[in-house]
Amino acid sequence: MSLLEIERLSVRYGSDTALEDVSLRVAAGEVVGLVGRSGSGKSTLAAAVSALLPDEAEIAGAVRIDGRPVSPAARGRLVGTIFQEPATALNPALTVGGQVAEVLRAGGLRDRRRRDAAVAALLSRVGLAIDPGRYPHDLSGGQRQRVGIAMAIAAGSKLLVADEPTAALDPVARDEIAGLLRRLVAQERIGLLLVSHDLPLVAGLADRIAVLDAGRLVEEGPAAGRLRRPASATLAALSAPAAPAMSSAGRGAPLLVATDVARTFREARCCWSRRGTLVLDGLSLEVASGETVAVVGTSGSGKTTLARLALGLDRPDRGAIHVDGVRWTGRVAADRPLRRRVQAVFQDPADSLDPAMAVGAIVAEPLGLLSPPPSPAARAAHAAAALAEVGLPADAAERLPHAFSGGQRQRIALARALVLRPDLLVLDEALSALDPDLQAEVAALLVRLQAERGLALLLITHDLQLAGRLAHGIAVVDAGRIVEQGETAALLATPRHPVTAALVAASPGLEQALDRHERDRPIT
Amino acid sequence: MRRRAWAGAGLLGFAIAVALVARVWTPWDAGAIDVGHRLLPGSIAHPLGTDQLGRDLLSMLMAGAGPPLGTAMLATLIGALIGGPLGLIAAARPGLADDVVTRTGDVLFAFPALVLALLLVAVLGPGVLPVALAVGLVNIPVFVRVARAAARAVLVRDFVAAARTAGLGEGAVARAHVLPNIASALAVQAAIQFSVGLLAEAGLAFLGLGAQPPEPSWGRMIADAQTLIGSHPRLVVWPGLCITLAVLSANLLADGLRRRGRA
Repeated sequence: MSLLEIERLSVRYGSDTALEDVSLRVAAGEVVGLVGRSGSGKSTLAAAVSALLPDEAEIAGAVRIDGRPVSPAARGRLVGTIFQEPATALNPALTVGGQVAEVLRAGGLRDRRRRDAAVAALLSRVGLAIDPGRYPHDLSGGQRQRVGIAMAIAAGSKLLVADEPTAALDPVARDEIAGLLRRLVAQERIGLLLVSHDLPLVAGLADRIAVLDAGRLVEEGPAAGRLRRPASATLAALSAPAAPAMSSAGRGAPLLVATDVARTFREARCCWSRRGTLVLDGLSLEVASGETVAVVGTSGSGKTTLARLALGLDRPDRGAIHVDGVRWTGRVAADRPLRRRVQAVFQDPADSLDPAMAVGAIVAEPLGLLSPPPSPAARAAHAAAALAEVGLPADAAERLPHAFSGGQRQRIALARALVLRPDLLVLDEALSALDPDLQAEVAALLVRLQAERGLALLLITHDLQLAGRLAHGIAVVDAGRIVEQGETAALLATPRHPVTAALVAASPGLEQALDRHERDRPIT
Repeated sequence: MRRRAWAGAGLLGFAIAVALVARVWTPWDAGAIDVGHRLLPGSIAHPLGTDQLGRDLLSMLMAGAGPPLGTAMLATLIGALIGGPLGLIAAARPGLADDVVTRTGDVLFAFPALVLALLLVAVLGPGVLPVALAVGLVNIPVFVRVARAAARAVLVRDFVAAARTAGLGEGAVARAHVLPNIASALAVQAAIQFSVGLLAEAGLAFLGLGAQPPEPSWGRMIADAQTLIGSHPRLVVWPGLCITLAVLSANLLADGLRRRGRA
C-alpha cells in the first residue's frame, strides 16, 4: 500500500474545473515531483492532499494517506505542509520555538519541559542551530523555511507536501533546503509530494514525476527518464524550451554607468537614534547599448537597490548613476527626459499592475512622457501596438489586470516598459516567475529587440541559468559590492570568487541536476 | 452581500428624500402650536397624533429628519475632504509631515468624541452648523488614519514605482493610483462616520445643543417628550425609531460596501 493514494480526484469551482480525474501515488521514502504550467492545477492538488481546499470547492474522488481519508482534523498528524513563502507562513508575533511548540501542543504534547526538548530536537533535525527564542523577522529566508519544515514534520506525519518550497529563496538557500528535504526523505522514510515549476529542483530531488496540464495528468513516470525523453508536449515544452540565441548586436557606447555607488538605509528607532544598514558599498557597473548585463547575487546582496538606483527611484548617498552622461536629479520634472529612455519590468506582475486600472491605460501610462503628449487616440494606438508586440489580443486593453494569468500580466508589464521604445530596460527578477516555455518566449522577444534597436538590458536575477542564456556579461554582487565580473561563459566556467562558485554550484541546469541526482543516489 | 448595501442605501435615500420634501411641504406646519388639539391620538387628520403643544407628530418627524441627516452628511464630508488628503500627505511624506499629522490626530483621538463636540459647541454656540462642524472635526482624524494606512499599503507596491518610472509626480500618483485603490476603504469609513454623525447629532440635540426651537429635530423631540414617556410613549418611540432606522441603514450600507470591497 502506498503512503499517499489519490484516486480519481476531481475538483471544481462552480463551472471551472481545477482538477479532472487525477490518480497519483506516493510511497514512503519516495519523492514525487508534480510539475506543470501556472494554473495547471498543481497547487489545487497539493491543497487537496493537505485538506486545505476552500469550502466552495466541489471535490469528487478520494485522497487517502496510510489508508485513511484526509480531513482537516487529520492534518498535521497524517500530512505536513511546507508553504512557498516562509515569510508569511510563520506568525511574526511568535518565536521560532513557539511556532513549533504550537504544533506539538495541538498534537497533544501538554508537558512543557518535554515540549521544549522536542522543539530543540526538531530544530536540530532540520539543521537549525539557533536559539528557539528568536523571532522570524531576524532569520534569513532559508532559515525561515527550515522552521516551516520543522513545523511540517513536528506532528510526526510521514507525508510532506511542499508547494514551491524554494521559489522565494536564492540559489544557495534553495540548494540547502533541497539537501535537507533529500536527507529527511532518505533517513526518515518520509514521502514527499514536491510541487514546483523549477525543473532542475525537481530533477535533483524527485524519483518520479507527474505532469499536469489544464487539470489533467498528462504524463507520469521515473523522473530522470521522463525529463530526458518527455512523452507529452507539456513536459517537452517545459523541460527544453527553445532557448533564444544571445543577441549579437554588438556592444555600443556605455549607456548606464554607475560609479562608486553607496546607499545606506536609515531605520528610525526609538528616541531619534538611527541605525544605518549599508546596502550598497562602492559599487561600479557599466551597461553599454546593445548589451545585456546580469547582476546576480544572494538575497540581501543589494541587487534590488541597484535596480531602483538605476531607475532613478532612489538616490545614492555617494557616487553617481549616469544614463548616457545624464545624471538622475530626483526631481520629477527634471528627470522626465531621462525617464523616456529608461523603463523597468518588476518581479511580480500582481504587484506591478494597478488592479483598478484598465490594461490599455496601464500600458499607455509612460506615453505621458512624450512631448507634446499624444492624443487619446494616439495613446490607444500606441498601447494596442505594444500589446500586439508582446502577443496579447487587441481586446486586452479594455479589461482589468485580474482577468489575465500571471504570464499574461507579466507581458502587459513588458508592453508598458516597451511602449516608449526605451534605450535601457531594467528587469528586476522579471522573468523568474514565468513558466519555462513562456520565459523563453519573452526572452526571445527581448533578444529580438536588442538586435533590432540596440536595447540595453540590466538583468537583476538570482537565476544563474537565465543569466547564462541571456547575458553577455555577469556581475556578481555580495554585501553591496561587485565581487566578480566578467564575460558570461568564462565566469560561469571558471568562477574565481567563492560567492560566484557557491552560486554556480547551487544553480545546476536540468541535465546537471539529473546527473548529480543519479550520482548521489545510485539506483538500488 | 449586495442586498445589504442596497437595503441600507434605499432606506437612507428614502430618509433623505423625506427630509428634502419636508423643507417645502409637510402635512401640517411642524412648528404650529395649537394647544386646543394637544396630545390627540392618531386620526385621519393627524396619522400619528399630536404632541403636548398640539403640533402634528408626522410633520415634526419629517421636518426633524433634516438636522441629523444634514449634520451627518456635512460632518462626513468635512472629515473625508480634509482628513483624506491629510492622510495621503502623511503616507507620502514619512518624517516630519507624517509625524505632525498623525500626532495631532492622536491628540484629537484622546478626547471622547462627544466630549470634544460638546466643548466646541460650547465655544461656537448651539445650532445645526456648529454641531456639524464639531462632529466634522472629530471625523478628521478618523479619515486621516484610514487614508494613511490604506495609502501606505498602496505606495509600497510596484505599480507605484512603475508610475514613477513613467514620469508621474507625487500628485499624479496619488490621483491616478492611490485614490482609486483606497476609495472603497474610504467609502466604508464614510458610511460608518455617517451613522456616528447621526448618533452624535441626536445626542447633542437631546441636550439642547443642536437645532434650536422652533426647528424640530429627532433628538430634541425625545428630550421634550421625556416626561410624558409614561402616559404617551409614542411621542418618544417614534423619533427614537427614526434615529434607530437611520443609523441601522447607514451601518447596513457600510457593511455591504465592506463585504463587496473584500470580494
